[in-house]
Amino acid sequence: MTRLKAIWSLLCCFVLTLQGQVSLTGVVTEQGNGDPVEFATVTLQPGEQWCMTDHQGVFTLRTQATGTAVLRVTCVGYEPVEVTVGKNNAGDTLRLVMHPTNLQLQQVIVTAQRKTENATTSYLIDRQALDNQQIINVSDILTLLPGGKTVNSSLINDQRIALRADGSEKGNAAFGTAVEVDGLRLQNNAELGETTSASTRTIGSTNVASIEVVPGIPSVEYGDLSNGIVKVHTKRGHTPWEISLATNPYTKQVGVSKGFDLVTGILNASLEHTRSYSNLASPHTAYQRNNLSLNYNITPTVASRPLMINVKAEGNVGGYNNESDPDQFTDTYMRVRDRAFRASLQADWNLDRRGLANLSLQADISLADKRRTALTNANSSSSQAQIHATEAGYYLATDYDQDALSPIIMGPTGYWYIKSIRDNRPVSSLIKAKARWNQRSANITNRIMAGVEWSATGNNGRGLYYDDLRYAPTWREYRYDELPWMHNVALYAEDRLTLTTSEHGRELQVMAGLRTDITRINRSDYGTVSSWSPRVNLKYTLWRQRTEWWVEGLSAYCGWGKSVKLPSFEVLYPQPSYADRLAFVPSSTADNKVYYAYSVTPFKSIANPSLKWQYAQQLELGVEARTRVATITLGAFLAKTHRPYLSTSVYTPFTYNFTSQAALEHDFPIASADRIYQIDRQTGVVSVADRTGQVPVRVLDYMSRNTFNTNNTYVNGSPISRSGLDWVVDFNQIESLRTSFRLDGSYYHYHGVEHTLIASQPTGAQWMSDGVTPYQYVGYYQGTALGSGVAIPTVPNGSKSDVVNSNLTIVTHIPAIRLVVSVRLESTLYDARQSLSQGKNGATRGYVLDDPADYFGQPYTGKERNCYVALWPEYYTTWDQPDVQIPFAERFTWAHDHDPALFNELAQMVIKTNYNYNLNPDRISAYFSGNINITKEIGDHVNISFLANNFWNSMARVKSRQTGLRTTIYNGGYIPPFYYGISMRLKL
Amino acid sequence: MIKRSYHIVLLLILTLLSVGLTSCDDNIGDPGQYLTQDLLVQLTGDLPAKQDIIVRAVDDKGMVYTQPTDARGIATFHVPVGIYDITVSHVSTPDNGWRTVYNGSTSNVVVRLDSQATVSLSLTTATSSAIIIRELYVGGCQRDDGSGWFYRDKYVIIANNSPERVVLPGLCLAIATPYNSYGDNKNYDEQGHLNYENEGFIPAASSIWYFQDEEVVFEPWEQRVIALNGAIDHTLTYSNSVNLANPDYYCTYDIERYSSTSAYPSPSELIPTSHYLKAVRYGDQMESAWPLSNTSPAFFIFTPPEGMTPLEFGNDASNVWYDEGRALATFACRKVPVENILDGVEVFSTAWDEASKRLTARVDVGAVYMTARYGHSVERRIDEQESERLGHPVYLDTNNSTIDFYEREQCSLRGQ
Repeated sequence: MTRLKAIWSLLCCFVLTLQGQVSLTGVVTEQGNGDPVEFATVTLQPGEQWCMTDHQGVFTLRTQATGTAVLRVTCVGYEPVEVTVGKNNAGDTLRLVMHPTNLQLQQVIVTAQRKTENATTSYLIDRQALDNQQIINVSDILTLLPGGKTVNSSLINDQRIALRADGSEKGNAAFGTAVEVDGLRLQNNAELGETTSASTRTIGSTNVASIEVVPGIPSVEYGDLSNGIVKVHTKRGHTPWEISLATNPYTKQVGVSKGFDLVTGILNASLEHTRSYSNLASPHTAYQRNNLSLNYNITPTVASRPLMINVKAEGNVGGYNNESDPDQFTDTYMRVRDRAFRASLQADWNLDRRGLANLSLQADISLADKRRTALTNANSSSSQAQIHATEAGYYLATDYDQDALSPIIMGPTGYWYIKSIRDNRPVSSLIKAKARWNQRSANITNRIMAGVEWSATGNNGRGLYYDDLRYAPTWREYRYDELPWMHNVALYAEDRLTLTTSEHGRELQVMAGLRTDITRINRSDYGTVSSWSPRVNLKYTLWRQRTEWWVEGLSAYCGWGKSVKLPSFEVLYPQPSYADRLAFVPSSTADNKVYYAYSVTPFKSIANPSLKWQYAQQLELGVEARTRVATITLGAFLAKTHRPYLSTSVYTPFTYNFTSQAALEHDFPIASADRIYQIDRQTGVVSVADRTGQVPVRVLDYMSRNTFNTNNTYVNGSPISRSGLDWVVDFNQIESLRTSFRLDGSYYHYHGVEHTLIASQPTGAQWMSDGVTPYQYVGYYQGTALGSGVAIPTVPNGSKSDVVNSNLTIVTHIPAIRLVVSVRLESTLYDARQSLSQGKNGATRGYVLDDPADYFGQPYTGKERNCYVALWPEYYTTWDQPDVQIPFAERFTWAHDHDPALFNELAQMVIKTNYNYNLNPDRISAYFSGNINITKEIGDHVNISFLANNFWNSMARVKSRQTGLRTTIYNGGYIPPFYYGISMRLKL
Repeated sequence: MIKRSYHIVLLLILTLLSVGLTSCDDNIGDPGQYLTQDLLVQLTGDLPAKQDIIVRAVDDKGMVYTQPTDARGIATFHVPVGIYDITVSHVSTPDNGWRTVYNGSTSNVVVRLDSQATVSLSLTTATSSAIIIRELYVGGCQRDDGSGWFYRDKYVIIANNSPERVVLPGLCLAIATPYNSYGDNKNYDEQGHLNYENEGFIPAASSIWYFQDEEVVFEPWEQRVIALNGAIDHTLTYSNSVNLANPDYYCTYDIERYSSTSAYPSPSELIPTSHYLKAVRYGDQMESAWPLSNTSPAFFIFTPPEGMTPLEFGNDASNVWYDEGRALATFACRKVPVENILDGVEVFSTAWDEASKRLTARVDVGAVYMTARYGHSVERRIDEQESERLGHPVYLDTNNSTIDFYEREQCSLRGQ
């Protein structure tokens, strides 16, 4: 009956040639049973006209295209089909057969595949690869990229994605890596307390159809990034019931999904429960993901053109919880919600009129609830000051029962519980519209895209608070929901030009675009700012499908782009910090109460009017060759991060008054029990009144302390460069063995040296030689090696690294028994790193010491080995004269010979290397590990995968050239610990 | 009948044989019980004149044998064959408040049946002051609610162990490094020696505490309790703890240098500020409290070198030594000359099998084991003979914590 309907539909089809338009009609059926494939997407390339198949598998595509084009049919659960069509096909009925995705296919891919149609480096990871690898968290997909390293998948660690970067480097590459799910950006700008890429733990991994990773230069459609983008696509289309079960020592997972045919459209529903725990012996402390995803897709025809409307809603409840853990002390717990709700409406109208090919509209909203509730137990034999003051001044501790809202509450003694809540609810929304125009002549296709985008991010959370102020420790309320939202308007335009120059598929693709972001930041000193991001990609295909040649196809590509990462709330609205200095310390009373008083100084990060937005420039080159024995792709990139944000300290002279218990001694006339302390909020002078009224108020003697207030400000640091090579050699399958080999790898080079002048005082409570004056000097040093946080000077002011990873994957695929066995040997062949101490413009920086106890030595040139190196500040300033720069070297040298007290004081500013080998170049000898993955299909309904990571449980040792020591790689962070897992998928 | 008699005789013969053989087995199986040999211990080094030195030999079963040396410095034992640990700990007669302590030890001395054993034992000498560490309580106690242990009630008792008035040009408290006795001690060289063993100093880690007085006077037999964290009555909250709110007590309290009020609550109003010890910090700047181990410190007291105040000594950047050879400011120590060290006690933790000494033999040749978290302390033993002679409790001071100290199951201030 179905077939009859299909034939009837075909009979009813007609070919229309109107105003130069051509209609292509076809029917898509499933191989084997000949059933129609409904809701398959049919796309004509170039031009990107598209339509959907109906219930009979029939499609009609109208296009103004001339010449030949590629018709691509995709549908979830089937292998894509591509055919070349020309004008001659007009009037014909194309009959396309799709093969269900299963292990009976002749070719099965279990690794990331290079997307050759793009003019930039991008990789596609499909469902089979995800199943084979048993990915639990989307962030684990980096494993599958060229040179990727296996991680043991778990949700306990909230691993974030950072493309083409290493965690310990400057420039915060993780924050610059964007993540999208079905076009909806996972925003992390409104997170307070972290500056990194978005968490991927709330994405249901069983519902992922494929993941595209673009570490290269993306289209200008994608902004607010600097280190590439990861695009997650979930399952869509009419699919059977799928039940997924997975277990490994640390995680259990169950998922159900189904694509329902609702006649008017397709509803895809997915439900997943995943639970991970960190301790095998105590599975009570766990992270849970409970993800529900609903996706409704309809394709009505509007003005005789298909309009695809997609409505998606996805929710997640779960998070971390240790409440039931018997190892916790009575009643204590920590619960961290990880709730998310994401919804999007996408409309895509294939207009194809007067050159206007397509109109798209998208509206997204994303809500998250990351509330953390903790109940902890506390105890103390002495009362502690619980400071809640937010304004500058002197405050005295007060009993809670006397004034519950006092700026300083005198804490309890004994035993009690503290309940803290951190209410953190980031919100983001986005509306964007874009249009595409196509122009096509005989051999030139010109596709122009223009779009506009508005996005807003904010946080509806209350921030950290306590349920009972009586027990709230020192803390200040900082409401996230009172922070203004950040609004961004982006405009972009891009032209994709395709020039076909010969019959062997010679082709030139040029993609050039420009994006501007206008960011409005209310109530921020940075106001409204704008930035430009031009990007150009070029791909030249010399030939393709020249089967008579050894190199059957060859193409090369290159690109240059600039991308701007918007700052996070952490940068825009840094939480005020407070300096709380003890101003009055009376003795403990008989019941261990102490009426402490504090000088409170609030700080807010100082706005830097000359701060520029951080941006990255990328340049990449690549070659793709298809030969008779293998497909080879080689890509090279150079990425330079300019003006990275660097948080630095600013010191301001400050004086406060301190009154000690000594002022209350020597027969003080008011008995301890009768004293009523008061402190002047402005001056800090303490007075004591007599509760009995017999003794007049006494003012206590105090000491003035000259010290510094420490604030911070963001400046633009020195540029950072990253470069590297990625290669993939996919050898053709040896058919007799049903085995194929893949050799992939990467070379990564990083170089970052900081020259920005950084102000610093010796850490801790340093004092002058007299023992009563706080430290009076501030040193100004050149550079730091630290990549995050407030910069503090270090002997090395940068580092360089070179790493070569190479993986060999052997895949044996036997379609007859539906079995895939893959063995992957991972190696790090070269791992060299060195901390650097380099002055500006080739100058030396630091001094080589003969003995670690020394302070003087010869200038460090970078060639010395096994030596301690000392760093001096360039100059220093004093409390009295903060604007006078005193050359440190000159003064320190003089003090050494003439003024021991000054020498001791200045020596505190000298910073030394920890060990004598810290600046030695380090190289770790090569190390290896191996994984085995087996996937077996049992009939058409059951699919089972097994994996064992580091399956020989390697105990090998590596040698460090820096220290000369050999250490085991077992549990050393080099390779994953031995790990195994099994998963099963049922299709009903 | 003859056959039966034959059987009885045979049975008797077998019985006698088996009894006889069993007796022989007993004799062979425990020869040390009956077989003895001479063990000669020759002491070398700077020996005291005209004084018998008691040499102690302990076999692997714990049997203790003692013998005095003769005029040649030789102690002659007649002991069962076996393996012996030989120790010497001798204190000279006091001279103006200072005594000389002779220490030496050697392990695994084998005494065989075939020949007499001779061993040479080199003694180290150290001067010992009358000012001693009487008791050290650092291990804390159990909280009342069962949530763990409380350890902010540490104290030390320093005593004048002589009938003489002692005047010190300053008195400082210090700890050696690493802070705990267990774990990897990277200050040992490849030969198993502390790399400062022959340098004549002990590194004082992190910071030192010092009495405010320019001269610290100890009256005869005077004892001073110094609260090392909170000089308050902790028993109000922790019934297993101690009351350190006492007008006679001292305390380490310098709130402008160690500003953590939980580690250093303001001392009781009963304690005058003149009893506060001050701190001078030079290492471990990020610590909120003096990093005195809760389980196994190497604690010592010293006077500053001549011509220096404690503050000047602590500030002296040229007198720096780095723990583990790590030149970060955190690891900076001050080198305290051994001759300025009045007393020291090396505490090992019973919770760990491995332990390494941090005080050199000139300060403390042994160690005392302690169990933390249950109110235990380490306390010096009473020297019965000296106490009897002087008519006042005198504490044993041989510069050997193994002998001098013992672990108290309840610290002495508990309940006071």
